[in-house]
Amino acid sequence: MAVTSEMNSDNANYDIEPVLLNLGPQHPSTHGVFRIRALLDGEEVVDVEPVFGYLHRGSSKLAEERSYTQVITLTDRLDYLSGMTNNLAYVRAVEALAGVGVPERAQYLRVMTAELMRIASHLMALGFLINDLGAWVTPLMHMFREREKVLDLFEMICGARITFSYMRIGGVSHDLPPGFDVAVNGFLDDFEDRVAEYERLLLENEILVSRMKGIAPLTGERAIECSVTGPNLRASGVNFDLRKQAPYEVYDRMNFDVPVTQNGDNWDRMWVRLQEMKESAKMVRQCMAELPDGITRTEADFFIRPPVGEVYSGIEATKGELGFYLVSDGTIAPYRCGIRAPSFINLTVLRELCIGWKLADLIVNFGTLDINVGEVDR
Amino acid sequence: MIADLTREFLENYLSTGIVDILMPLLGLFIVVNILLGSAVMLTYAERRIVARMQNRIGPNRVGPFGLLQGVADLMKLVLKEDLTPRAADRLVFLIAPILFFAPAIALFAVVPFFDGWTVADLDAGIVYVIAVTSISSLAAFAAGWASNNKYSLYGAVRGVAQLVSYEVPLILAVTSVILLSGSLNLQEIVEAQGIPFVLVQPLGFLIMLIAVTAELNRTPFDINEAESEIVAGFHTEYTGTKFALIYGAEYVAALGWSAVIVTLFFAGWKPDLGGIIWFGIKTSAIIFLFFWFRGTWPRVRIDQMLALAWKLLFPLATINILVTAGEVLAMQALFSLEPGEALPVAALAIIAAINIGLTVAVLALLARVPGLAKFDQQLAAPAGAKV
Amino acid sequence: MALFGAGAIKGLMVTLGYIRRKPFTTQYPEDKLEQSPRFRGNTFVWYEERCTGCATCAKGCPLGIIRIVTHPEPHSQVGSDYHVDVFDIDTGRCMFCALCVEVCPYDALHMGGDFEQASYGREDMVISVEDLKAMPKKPRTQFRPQMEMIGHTGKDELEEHEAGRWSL
Repeated sequence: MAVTSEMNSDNANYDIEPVLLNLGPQHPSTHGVFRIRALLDGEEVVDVEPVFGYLHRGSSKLAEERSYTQVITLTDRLDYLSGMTNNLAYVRAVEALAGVGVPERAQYLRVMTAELMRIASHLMALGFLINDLGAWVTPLMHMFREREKVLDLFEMICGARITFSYMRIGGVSHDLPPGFDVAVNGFLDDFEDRVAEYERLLLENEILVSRMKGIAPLTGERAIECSVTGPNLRASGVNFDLRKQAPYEVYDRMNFDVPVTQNGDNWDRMWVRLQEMKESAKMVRQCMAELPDGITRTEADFFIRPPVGEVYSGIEATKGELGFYLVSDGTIAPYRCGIRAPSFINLTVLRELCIGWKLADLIVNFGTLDINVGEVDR
Repeated sequence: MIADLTREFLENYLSTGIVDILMPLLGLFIVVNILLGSAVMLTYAERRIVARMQNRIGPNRVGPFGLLQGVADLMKLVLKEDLTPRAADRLVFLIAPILFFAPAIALFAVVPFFDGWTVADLDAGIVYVIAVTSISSLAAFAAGWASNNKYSLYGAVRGVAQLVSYEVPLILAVTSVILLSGSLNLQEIVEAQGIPFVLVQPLGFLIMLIAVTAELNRTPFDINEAESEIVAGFHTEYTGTKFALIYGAEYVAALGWSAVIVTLFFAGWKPDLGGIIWFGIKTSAIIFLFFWFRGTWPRVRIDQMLALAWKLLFPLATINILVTAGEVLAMQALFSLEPGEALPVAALAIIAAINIGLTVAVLALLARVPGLAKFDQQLAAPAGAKV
Repeated sequence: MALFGAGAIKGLMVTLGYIRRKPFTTQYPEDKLEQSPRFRGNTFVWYEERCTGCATCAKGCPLGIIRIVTHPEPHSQVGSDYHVDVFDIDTGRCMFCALCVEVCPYDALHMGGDFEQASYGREDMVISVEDLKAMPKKPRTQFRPQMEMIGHTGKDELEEHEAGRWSL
């Protein structure tokens, strides 16, 4: 299937007017309400302009009129496919601001839930990507099934499936429920088989290979210039992962590899995510094995008043470096709450990834960047 | 037999001339209604089968096991408001769905359901099949153009490029069958199959299957209605009854093409095991293949698809014809047959053995071609390398 | 010997295998999945006897959707006993974060487990104090580890003296 072809690009000889195609905000493959204004020359993409803001909820401003603990509920809704890592990034920023320590058991629980969240988020990224490639939702449904199991685990821990609000300033809101270790180990055992199944289903498929391999490569230098982070950066050959480079919580004790590939094309971006899920599963297993006893939360006021100051704290969230910039004026609410949203910043490269490729590739490039509109628009 | 009884019954009341006109109309009425019914049931079957592949249950609310889901969908579509975009070309917009549906049904005129059961036993049956099904590309283009929508236009242009390209390997694949059977008549092609031609012509079958999948706009070649790219392609603007016609036509066409594939490659109604039922089982198996593809594979890109047609299938089909022609000539010399005489089973068996070997060799060779080969992914830098 | 198309066939085999397997999904209104004991439903469980009308839940709510009006009991022996007149929780705006449950110092407010609360109007989604009184007392164990300790799974009714961190 992978017959490469070069369509004639000497259209300059003809008097051809490019077509302006609005992909979105209502479109089957825009992952929410995202809009791409694509200028097309036949099937070829001439120019791309992302238009966003359809899901703007003003999270930063809303945070200014809520107490530090209440803002946790807002962070659930940033990237609604990875609420745990959003919670974690935010509470780490507040803890740095207020100087609150976290018990060791809570740190393990945070790492474990964050890695489970990474599995769920990458499953969605891959599933929707393959769906954009035109498979009639079969891989998506299979990945939804695994995500459901992760969400079941989250429901056991914190009672919610999407909007967790699990992390608290100074720990986590709940200790593990009884029977959780059995459930999580059962899930992990099953998950290894399922990942092997995904690889059988996807990785050797000639159609998939020809659609993704070598398409829209992003060089490491360009990725760094555009501040791309997360799996997209690592697919471009830059080994940068905050979990390794600046370990937070107990990541320094975790045994895991960071998958890095050199080509930076669509295939690599997909492959890196597939491997990261395996590494995350390994980490969850290790967390459950090494989980120390003790309390899960230090006593911090519900209406905590951090000292006057400012702090930036970032973590390796599912889609890249998610950072919170908090300014405190000594009251119960943050004076400013800035969010470095990885989805938004990764979008920087969308235009140059798509120009010169086909319309069908545009959709796939957008899919491999793994954008969450909730995080882009905030 | 039933036809004779009906004729006798009618002749009691009407003159022979009117009965002569009425009888084909009655036959058409029955065939068309059976086809419409099976199209409705096929939508249900596809949804159920693909749902099971996706670890779901599928539609199961309307009627027992959800069997009436297709009927409910059809009723909903028919009762829906029939919208025509203001800027649309109203006449063409109206004609296009009919143009889409008519050839799908007309295809069944020449299909030999059983020994002697053919609506029109044309001598050039296979030519008729190819001619009639080519109309659907025109219909798709008419629909896309008349809708006055950019997505529709993209779908239409893609559709024409796709259908025109895949006609060529399709006809070439059919030609190899004609060479073997020595006839253009579908009934005679069935009778010529001492061994099903899928064994005698494995490469021809593969090419035919790929080309028919493209002709039917089904995954992995559904680029002219690629949902994730151009919403619904040429029928983006269609609603209500018109949409139902386009949607149904795809399933009727799938049924028709499956019947043609069974006729050409799976010995049609032979061997005679319970009449039309055997033919139905084979056709269902081919249709299941289409559902299966849809439930598994992603879609190819337009340029890859055209490249596949022109750079891979076209040369392969041509070579296949040359090889087959040589084999047929050699067999005619070996068994001292007159030109045009049907090949005996022994001759077919020899050709089958050669062609199966050749097909495996070709597939193995293709797997070695760089760019076509499997992509071995490797970890690039070990963890902890310098940034 | 690898054949061209073998990878795609491998994928086909995976999907074919699923036809035999039991579907993962369930038929919702007939088969309901069981929620975990900590599940945060769309209702609340309120023990009037435990509540002092302190309105900490209203302060803890990130959206400010809890409205409490109290008046002092005229013939109270203790002197600080408040009667709750209004306890409106606008679940149409609620995001069920359970912060009100977390901050309740007397363990009077709990999350309920029911999630079938659809209604035809936003005004019907407001839970009033009468609704709260009438609701079945089946609290979920969200933020209530003491309930987990006595083996409560959220399915049984609990008396007000069983629901708290300390008995009344």
